[in-house]
Amino acid sequence: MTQSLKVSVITVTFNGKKFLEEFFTSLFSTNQHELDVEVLVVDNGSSDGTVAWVREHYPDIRVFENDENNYARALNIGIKHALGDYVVITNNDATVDSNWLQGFLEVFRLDDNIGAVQSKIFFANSQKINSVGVEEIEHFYFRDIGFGRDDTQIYVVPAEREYVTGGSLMLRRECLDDVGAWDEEFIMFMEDVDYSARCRKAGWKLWYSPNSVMNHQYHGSSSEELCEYFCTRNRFLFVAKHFPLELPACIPTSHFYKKGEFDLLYRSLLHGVRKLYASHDTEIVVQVLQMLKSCLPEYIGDVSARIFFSHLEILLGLRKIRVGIYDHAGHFAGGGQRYVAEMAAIMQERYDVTYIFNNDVELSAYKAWFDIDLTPSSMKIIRIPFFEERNRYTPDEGMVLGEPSNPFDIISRETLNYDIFVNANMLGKVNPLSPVSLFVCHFPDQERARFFQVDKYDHLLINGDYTGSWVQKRWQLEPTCKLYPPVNMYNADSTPDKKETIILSVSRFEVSGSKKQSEMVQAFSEMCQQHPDETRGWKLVLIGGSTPGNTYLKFVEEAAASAQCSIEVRANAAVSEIKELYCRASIFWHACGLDEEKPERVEHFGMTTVESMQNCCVPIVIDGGGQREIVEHGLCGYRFSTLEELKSLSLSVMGNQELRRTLSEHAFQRSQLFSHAVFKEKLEKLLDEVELELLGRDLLPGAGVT
Amino acid sequence: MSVRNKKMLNINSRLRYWKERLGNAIWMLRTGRFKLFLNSIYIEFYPTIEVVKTQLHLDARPESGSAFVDKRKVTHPGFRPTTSQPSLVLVPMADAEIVARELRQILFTLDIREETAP
Repeated sequence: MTQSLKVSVITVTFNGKKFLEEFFTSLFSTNQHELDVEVLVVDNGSSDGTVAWVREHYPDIRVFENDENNYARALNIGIKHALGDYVVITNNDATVDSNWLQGFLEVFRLDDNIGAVQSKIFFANSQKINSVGVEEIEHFYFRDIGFGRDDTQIYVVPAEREYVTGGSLMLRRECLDDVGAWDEEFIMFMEDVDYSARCRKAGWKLWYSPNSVMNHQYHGSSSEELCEYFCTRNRFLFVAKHFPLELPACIPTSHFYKKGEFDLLYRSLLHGVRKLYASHDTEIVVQVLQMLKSCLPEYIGDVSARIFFSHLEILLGLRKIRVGIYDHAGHFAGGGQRYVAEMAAIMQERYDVTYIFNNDVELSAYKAWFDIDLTPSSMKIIRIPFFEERNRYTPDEGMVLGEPSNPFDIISRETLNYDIFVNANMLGKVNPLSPVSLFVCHFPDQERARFFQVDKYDHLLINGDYTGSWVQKRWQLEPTCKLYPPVNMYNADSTPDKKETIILSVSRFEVSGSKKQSEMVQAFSEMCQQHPDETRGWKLVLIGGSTPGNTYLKFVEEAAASAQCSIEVRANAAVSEIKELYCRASIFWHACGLDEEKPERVEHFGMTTVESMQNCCVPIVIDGGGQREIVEHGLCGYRFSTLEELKSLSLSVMGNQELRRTLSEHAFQRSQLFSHAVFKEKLEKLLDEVELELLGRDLLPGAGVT
Repeated sequence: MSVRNKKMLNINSRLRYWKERLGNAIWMLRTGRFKLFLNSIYIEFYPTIEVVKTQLHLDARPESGSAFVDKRKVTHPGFRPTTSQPSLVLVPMADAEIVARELRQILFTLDIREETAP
């Protein structure tokens, strides 16, 4: 009795359900005389129900699920589970003739050193050839032999090939074991060319069989664009592996270079050098690096070449990631500085962080201002001559109008020293030259003007939807990440039960009056006069920072004194005092933006509102700016548009203790969205993304950010 | 014969190539594969077309606004990151210390000139 030969047929799917029935029908109709055939399907994350469909209709087929759309990895999964003495890898947007399997084996019997045999592949429904092997055309670009030609007598005999296609290929088990796994860094396309080269290097022969016939739908399961991208990208990997000294010469002949797609060229070349580093000894690697040093500036410019070699240090794991954070107003203790200092404190746990300032400041000041320890970070002061000459202490980009060159280029040059550059305070004229860059936008105060560089950043961070909507309106840019400012005013002593009859408002006493304290005094005064019973025992406390000689503060104090009701005005109170008032207050008012038309004069986020909510106050705030995102009207507080609404809503809350309690509980829950823990989690996720970009994550045509 | 020697360097191989392309084009037209036909024409000529397109694009670009031109930022808007990740495991065959020293040396000697924006 003849022992049957075990053959495993592996096919990889990606949303290919529509092809499978016809393919399987033809496969199961093949001549399997003296063969024991098993079929394995590896699915690359289809969303068309392929996996369930195969399991339901073909229970004997073994199905495996790949965690990403990586064809080479899918092949490795299939091969690992295949039990055959011979393993076939095949496309499934095709049908096969009855002699398909036997046709392979006929050729294997010719020579024990044949490691792989490719089919004769026709275009579906025609007698034109799709492939009878693979050959190099020029400059390491490859094509199918016989593509589009008639099936003439030159293709009717078996022949040895230099390269074969993985579209319909049988491999001897010994060859697979000898050569090893398919290179998953190819992802898809040209992985077969690489495997062919590896087979031949290991001494195996590659052949073509005219009697194993497949009818293939050309690019039935992939797009021309995808093929073009990966063939051009993977060409660098192939050359780096097999012809390393040819790598620099591959740049000008690359389709990416010819099409001016320098970003794709840059990234593919990074992959190529990484592959070189993993595949060759030091002498070759150093030789290629020196060749690249000579030619790369010519191809991609001095700046991009400098970025390339610096980027390589990270990609090859040769040093720690460097982050540069630029804040032109870092000598000033503002909300924006605090926001970025919180970011820096998290970043310095992973990276070497350097703060870049234009003026004298010590990082220890951040400890004093915000209780944020930036000791592990370093700092650098870079003066900008343009502003020094004009005796301007803080750079103001609005002053740069008719100058022939960009005064902030001195900062741009500095960004070359970092792998990640963070523009912390919206200085939109700094051109980022680090491999990855982040622009933090607190609010787009400036219009698009001369030297505008924001669209050159890889990530555009916003502090909330309000800022985001104005980024879209003013700059026509899409923010890439929303990161709410972290708010840390939680006090375990604050509970809805311990509240007193206090309405609190916490805002700076701006000289311009933009925080609307005088309007709040007026509203409270009117409430007390019109509703003496409902407001009895209630007090309004206005608290906030102020500069010496602030005329607006004086005006508010006078208004409060003459209001004939209980109103306290406290300027520059200590943090402990503010904390205590948050703990005691029942209601929180915020009116910045009332009757304002200019978006700059509306609170962009509203940190003090969140602080009050963390302390179980009921927020009654202006219906505008960032407050809309924080306070859900009627659920955890109220939003008003006029002083009449403010008074009416406040009276309803003041007169209903049960309502106050419910709202304050919901306010507290809502405030958790803006906690430091959430901020840290989101930032770390963003940093993971950024690191992946630095480590050479792939770009795909047409695929959205996922 | 080495792979490098098999390049299409002589006129005969070029003629053979174009003859084959022409035969293929006629077949596509005869069988009504117009889309494939147009696509193949595009594949043949796109390097030239794209060079012209790139030049037009560069000519039409507004002032860069910086003396430093980072050519990587000539972006292709259709290309976006995917979930595909590179292998994080890198086992070098080369000596990391020597390669690191070489890269430092290259960075030290690379002269960054200010470029005139296109």
